[in-house]
Amino acid sequence: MQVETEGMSFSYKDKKVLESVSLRFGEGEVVSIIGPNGVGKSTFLHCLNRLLAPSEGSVMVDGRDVSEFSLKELARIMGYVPYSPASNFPLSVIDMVIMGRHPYSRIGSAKDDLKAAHKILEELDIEDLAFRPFAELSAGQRQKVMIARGLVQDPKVLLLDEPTANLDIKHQMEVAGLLRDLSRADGLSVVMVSHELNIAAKYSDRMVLLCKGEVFTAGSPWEVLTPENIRAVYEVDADVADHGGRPYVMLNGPVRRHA
Amino acid sequence: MPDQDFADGYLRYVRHKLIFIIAALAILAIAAGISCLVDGRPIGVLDVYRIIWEHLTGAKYEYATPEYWDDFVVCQMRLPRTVLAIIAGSSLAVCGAVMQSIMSNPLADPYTTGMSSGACLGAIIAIVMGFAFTGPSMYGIVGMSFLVALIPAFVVILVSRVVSTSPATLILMGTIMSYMFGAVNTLILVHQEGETLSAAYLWTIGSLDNVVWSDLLVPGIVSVVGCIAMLAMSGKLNVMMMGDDQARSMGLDVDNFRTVLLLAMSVMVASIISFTGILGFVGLVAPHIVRMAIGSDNKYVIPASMAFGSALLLVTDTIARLVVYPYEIPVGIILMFIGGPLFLFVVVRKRGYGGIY
Repeated sequence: MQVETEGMSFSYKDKKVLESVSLRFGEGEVVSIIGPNGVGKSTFLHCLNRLLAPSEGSVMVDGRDVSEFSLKELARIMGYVPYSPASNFPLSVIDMVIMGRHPYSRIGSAKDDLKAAHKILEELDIEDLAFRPFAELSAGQRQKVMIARGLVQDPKVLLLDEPTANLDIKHQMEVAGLLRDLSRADGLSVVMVSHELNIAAKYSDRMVLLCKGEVFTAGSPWEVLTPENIRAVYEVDADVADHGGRPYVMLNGPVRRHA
Repeated sequence: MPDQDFADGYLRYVRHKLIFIIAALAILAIAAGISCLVDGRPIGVLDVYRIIWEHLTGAKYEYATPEYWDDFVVCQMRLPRTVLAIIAGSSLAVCGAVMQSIMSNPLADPYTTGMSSGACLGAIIAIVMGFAFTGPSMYGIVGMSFLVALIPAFVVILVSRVVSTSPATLILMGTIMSYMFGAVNTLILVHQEGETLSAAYLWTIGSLDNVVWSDLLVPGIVSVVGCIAMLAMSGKLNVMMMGDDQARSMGLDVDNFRTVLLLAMSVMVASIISFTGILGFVGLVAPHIVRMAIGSDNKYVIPASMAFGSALLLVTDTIARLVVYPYEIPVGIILMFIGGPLFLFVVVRKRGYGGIY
């Protein structure tokens, strides 16, 4: 399944957040959207799954505009894992994951929904958490539960807003590795927003660098993570080394501006 | 974990929720029996259940025999009030649980969203306009209550559709509207005299006094239909608890769903408040205590809140009738005395959950 944006722009009132973004996401690839704070990374994800409507341009899924899909149809195609999941209500892990079955729910589907949730929890190796309160889990466990909720929608594309934020390095690698494995095994397309450049470089097939709402560059991690690009977009001096065939960014410091 | 072990674990997980619901129903049954003891003629608690059972199974008694009077006192004089408490308690508690879910805010209930105050203002306007409390004229009070209760519902619908706003802001708007309705209430009341003033004022406090079976038709039907409909939508309500964006990403048409539910709850709240006046805290406290005990899956929260809300209202109403017996205090006052500290206890007793939990 192919997701494509064509000249997509988005504005919050007069403030242009995204400007003519044209990108394509193929089946089974892991794509990281990177860039400094406030360049429209999360807005881009929200436009992909119709949480926001682009002011110009379009989002197409297999050649069909997303606005033509019903919300349930779209939820069966795209799963969404929000940034920093939390709930105002006491929910257990199984309650949380079963919610993801909503696009398939019908009278008498409870047993099937439970089975689907169990299968996903088993696949992610978190079934022992099933009946524990979500709020009592560690940040890494919560993130896995939210990924489970996205996956139980049985989507073709999984959108994730900073899935490795607030995680320690072990959990960052676990979560990113899990997403790559799912993509390889099931042909799932993964589009994730990330601030962790090295994690994104290690686990992504492609990267998209956004700057001021526009695509600064897109391509393989080696094409995107160059010292020049990092300097131009992040205003940070960095060296990029080869680490196991992947680029590894070493930060030197902010770019010094001279009067 | 094999499928069977997981299924067994799930059954254990569900069992304690079901046990809680059964326990709440048992408390409700006991509270209902005790509430039928109060007033004049001494009848034992077990006799109350027997009399109700015999009445339901069609027993007939000779006029003016002791059995006749027992049946008359329990089934015609005391039971309507008990049933009204059950209807009002369950409806308001379910509306509270549903509002908290659709606004993704644990502080939402018919009172904090302004709906109760709106319904109360509508009732007072109708009373001042001369509608009576009994007979067909009563529907004028219900209708007026519904119309004014729609105002906060429409404001919430409009604001959430037109302006992207947080659930906390919606509650704040509801509270502001409550104050404004309260101001209009007071303005109307200061220009009234005698019976109209006392009748209208009682509406602002809340009471279950002076109810007969025929009064229960409208709130009874609305409550049963409303609560069943809300229970049928428990899956969608669960999704709404996660907030609008996540609910939409899981395929729920958030705006239309919220609109339909707010309109339905306006009818439910108006049909109760127009008979009882404002009954605060039931919609807030009952769902919170239920969630503390069995979590937030609305499939269980809604029936448990119905039982717990009814029991809460029955117990407070019984206390209201006993504190200065043979006189009685309006139940709304006792609800404030008991509901306030109870809610404070819920807020303070954090258990590592998000929000106020």
